[in-house]
Amino acid sequence: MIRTSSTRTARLPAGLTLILLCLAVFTPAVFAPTALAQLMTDADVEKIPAGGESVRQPIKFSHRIHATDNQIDCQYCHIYARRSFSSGVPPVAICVGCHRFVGAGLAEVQKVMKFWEKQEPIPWVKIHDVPDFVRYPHYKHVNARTEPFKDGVSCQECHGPIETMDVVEKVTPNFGQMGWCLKCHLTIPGSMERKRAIASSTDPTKTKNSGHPSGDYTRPLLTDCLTCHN
Amino acid sequence: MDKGIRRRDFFKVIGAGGAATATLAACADKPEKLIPYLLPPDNVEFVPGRPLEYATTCMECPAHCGMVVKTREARAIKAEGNPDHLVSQGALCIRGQATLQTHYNPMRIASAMQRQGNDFTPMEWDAAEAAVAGKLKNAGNGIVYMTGNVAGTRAEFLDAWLGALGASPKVVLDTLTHHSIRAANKTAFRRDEVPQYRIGEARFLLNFGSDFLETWMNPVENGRGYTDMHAYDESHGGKGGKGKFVHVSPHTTLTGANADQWVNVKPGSEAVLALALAREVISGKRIPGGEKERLEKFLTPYTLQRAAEDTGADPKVIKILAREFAQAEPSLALAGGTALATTEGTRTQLAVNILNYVAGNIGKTVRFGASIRIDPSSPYRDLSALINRMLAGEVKVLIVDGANPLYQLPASSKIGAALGKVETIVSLSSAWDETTRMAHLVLPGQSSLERWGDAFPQKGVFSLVQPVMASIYPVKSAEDTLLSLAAKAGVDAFSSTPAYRDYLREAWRKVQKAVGAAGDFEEFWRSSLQTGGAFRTVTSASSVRLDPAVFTEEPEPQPSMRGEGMVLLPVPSLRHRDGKGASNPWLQEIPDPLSQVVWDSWADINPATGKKMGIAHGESIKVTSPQGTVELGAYYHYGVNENVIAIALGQGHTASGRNADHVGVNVLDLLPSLSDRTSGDFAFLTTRVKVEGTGKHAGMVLTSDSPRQLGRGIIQTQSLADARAGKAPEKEGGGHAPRAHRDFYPPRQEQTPGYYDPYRWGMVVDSDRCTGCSACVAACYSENNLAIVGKTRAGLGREMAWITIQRFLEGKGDDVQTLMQPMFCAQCSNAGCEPVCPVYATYHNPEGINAQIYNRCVGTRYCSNNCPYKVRRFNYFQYEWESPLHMQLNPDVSVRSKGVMEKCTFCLQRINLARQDANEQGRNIADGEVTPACAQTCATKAITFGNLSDPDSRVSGMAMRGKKNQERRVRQYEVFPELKQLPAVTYLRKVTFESSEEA
Repeated sequence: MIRTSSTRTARLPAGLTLILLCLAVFTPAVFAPTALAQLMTDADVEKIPAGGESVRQPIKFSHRIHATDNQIDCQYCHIYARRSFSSGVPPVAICVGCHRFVGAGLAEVQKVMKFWEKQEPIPWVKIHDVPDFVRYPHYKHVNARTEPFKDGVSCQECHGPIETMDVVEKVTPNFGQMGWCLKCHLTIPGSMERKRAIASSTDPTKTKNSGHPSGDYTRPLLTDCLTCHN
Repeated sequence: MDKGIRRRDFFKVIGAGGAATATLAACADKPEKLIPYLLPPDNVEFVPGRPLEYATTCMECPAHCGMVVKTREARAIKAEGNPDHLVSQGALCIRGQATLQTHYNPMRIASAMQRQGNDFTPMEWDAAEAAVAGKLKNAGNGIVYMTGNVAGTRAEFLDAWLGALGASPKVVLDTLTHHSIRAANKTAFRRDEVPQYRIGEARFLLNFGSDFLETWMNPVENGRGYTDMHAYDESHGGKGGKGKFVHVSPHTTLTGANADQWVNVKPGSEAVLALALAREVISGKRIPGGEKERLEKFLTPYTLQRAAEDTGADPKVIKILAREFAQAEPSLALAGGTALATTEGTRTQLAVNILNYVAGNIGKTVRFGASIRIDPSSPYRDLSALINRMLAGEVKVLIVDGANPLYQLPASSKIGAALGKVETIVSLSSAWDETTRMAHLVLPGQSSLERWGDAFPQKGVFSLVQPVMASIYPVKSAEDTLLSLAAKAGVDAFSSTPAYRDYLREAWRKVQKAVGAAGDFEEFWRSSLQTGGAFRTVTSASSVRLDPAVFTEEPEPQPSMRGEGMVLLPVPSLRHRDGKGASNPWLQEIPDPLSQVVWDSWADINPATGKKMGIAHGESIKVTSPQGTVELGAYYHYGVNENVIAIALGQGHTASGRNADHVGVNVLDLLPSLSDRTSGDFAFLTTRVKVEGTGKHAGMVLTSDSPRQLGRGIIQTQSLADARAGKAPEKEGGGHAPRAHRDFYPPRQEQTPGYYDPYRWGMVVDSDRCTGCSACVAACYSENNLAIVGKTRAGLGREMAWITIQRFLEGKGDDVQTLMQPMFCAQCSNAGCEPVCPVYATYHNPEGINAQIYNRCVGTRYCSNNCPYKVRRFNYFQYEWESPLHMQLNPDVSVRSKGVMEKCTFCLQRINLARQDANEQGRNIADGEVTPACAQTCATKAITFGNLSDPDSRVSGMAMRGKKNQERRVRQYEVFPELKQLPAVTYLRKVTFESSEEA
């Protein structure tokens, strides 16, 4: 059990510092169907996806400049991807950490600094959304070690060539839909089975014999609905 | 299959139509926002998606159990008992579970307020503080501080603060106090304290009126002790455990319903019975010196005959009772609740003291020295004195904080008029209530999950309160407000500790000495925060002697009851205590386990009385005392004296929010303003009332219909002799013997390889341990985002509880026996729900969970119709959580929307969390690693969860499943075995005493 002593020294200014990381993790979900592709070409121009509301990001942030031109690793900013269900939208402090020294003259950077001065989080608009009734573990995919993903599933596998995008868009309109998930999970060996744990529950040094004829068989548990839905 | 349309194709077509509609709707949906942190939490253990737990203390009642609050992304989502805490040992009661709703109460006040006419307008915090500080200057002893909470260091802090301002001593408001016990112990043993009652060590428990499983002292600790002494213990061939519990009272609430025997006595006659028992017991006991003779002389007038006449009980019953009480070593007699609620309560306690002394229980089951230090609340007498001061206009500034005198005190105390005479009322309460609505200035406080504090509920128990999340609203804790008020009023006594946290830390240097913890204070403080407090085992005093002063006290007077008609018996409520939790929707919607009434008050009357008076069950009745009239539903209850009408406290609010207002009636409206003659405790049992039927239907809503099992064998019993002899009842299935035909389906494991390996989740519920306290129900509401449907819809059978307390009655009249056990989805292997689902939304998963996939469900409700246990719940509407209650929702559990079926999942999210850890470490989930919310909070350990596929797991050992264990089954049974649904939940039969059997 993680029991943590609170070591806060001062009362926190209400609400602000502990604004939720990510509504996706917490939103009391009603079953909103997946939002359709919200295509965006220019953040400053209001783009109206078919029948929907206009989408405009608060800052014209370019993944291309950061990830391709400057070769910054995805997980430098998306700090929780290898540890958590959520990849972690970068805290404003991470933006400020660099931009205090870099690119101070740029208009978009000044917008970031303005948010920081006001001590307000940046209200990004969500492009890649999985329904709230699905648990999707980023860390399981990032840390995958089975063929063909010996070094983990890369971000691009689901998010597309995001390192080349000036404005994030969904390259697959089916993003977040079950059939789209299962496309991998039903075809790629190792991605659908959950290995029977080798250690016995009472003595981790011993292997437990299940008595099953196939011995160390694996079970198709990742196609069990409860693996993702609860 | 070529002709016509196939079932799946049909649903595809229907589904396509639905999808088209959904697509249109989806386009109108606004894209969600991604709100990042400004700063990532500096706490290294923080990972989004994993809970962080903080140890703190429950502040819902003066028992102050240790509590662990689970937070997700900095929001408190679940309260659980703290396993490291000396008192609660991991369990919480129903009110403790609902602490989250006190915290997220929609009636929380968001900013400082000032009165403008009948309304309140927000004002700047500093301006409000300045205004109050101005009033405090020079008000001197015209300042009165009334609070409901003086736990721990706070008492001393308030004294210092009031002293620095020259104010009157603090007044602590609680009407459920224990001054009578203290006063009687002072007289009898010269010890002015509430002793520790070792219920668990008694072999025979005789309870005079206390509701020790509900509100009396610490119900969690009591519940644990009660099962220690009372629950059937398999381990020594059934020889250990199973003491007998006899309840003596004019009325049974949940506690009395658990008793092996109920002795129905006239209200207020308990003292005579206790002394008559002492007279019977004394002959066989060794008491040194001349004390025995003196006692015998003193007890001479209290014959069995007299006791039988005074109490109305059968003399034979009393005689057997005396013999059993004397033979059990040690026994224990408790008194509390209704027995001490008369104006002669102290004398009743004196009589019980003599009984315990004569039986030799003092120093064994009644321990002085290791005392229970229930909050030092003011006796009612002091409150009356304050009201007189207020009426005389002597009170200039009244500060109320966590107390609601306008509701908690009877109207006959003239509290309403008295509050009107006060020049300035300042409220520091965190939520709106009756008294705060009368305030002139409101400086709202923080909830107990947002502030610092501590509590010392027992000697040697030092429990800390720490903020588990940032304040929901920009408000200060009451203590911090007081500190800045002092500074603004020109008092510099607290300049070294500008925040209450600093004050508390300084005070804990003394605690470090008291518990004898050596070393660095910083280290002690950190470790105390981590464990939830600091504890020291206290050795109790050696034996205490009976003070001869007892013999001068005349213990006999029958307390007088005012007025005419039936005796009115107000009883504390399991769910609302004296009214504090009434605005928590969970506590309103979870039925009272005994009556199964929700969102209402009811009056317990004996069916014989009802029939005699022409009052029907469920009829609206008018109850009139000289003080007032209330109208509520009559409830036929076997466990109530024929001349008594019993009504629970805690309902009938008028200004505490929509969940509490005008729900039921406030029984205090009927009571005169009287207190115990000796101790000054408020006297609840003082008045007679006129009861008349109105002929109208009261519209009470009960969540279960028939109180009779009708031979279905849902809750089964077994006699103690049979259990000890290892004899299982011959017929299973409550009379419907399972037919011996071949199973239609082959077992799961054979159907699909890999089923149930390595896990098959299952549960064992020990009906002999379940007291029906309903804490599990509240825990489930909290863990699984269960919706609240309200009274009307609960009346249509649409409540959403995944786990319910079933209660059934056996027998009639005074001998009626109440059976209780939790009922929830049994996760059957051959479930009735699965084959009837047209869309495969429910299916059996390889780990034995009967899965319900919400987004697949189309809401045909076939599954619910086909479920014999009736544990599936359907969302008839899109239920909403009134802000900020929605902040409590567990992010690991989907919130179900309209048209979706839902049910117990064995807390699947907890299994998944444990699996996450186990997978990373390359092992299986260990036994005991997963505890569902219901089992976690159970004080009596009635629910055991585990892996049935592991033959070494606790649950396998208890369930005794499989053919080879068939002969070792004694108490084990499954509900409805004749249906062959193969449930994964095994129940253990309740063990009962045959009438001739003794402990």
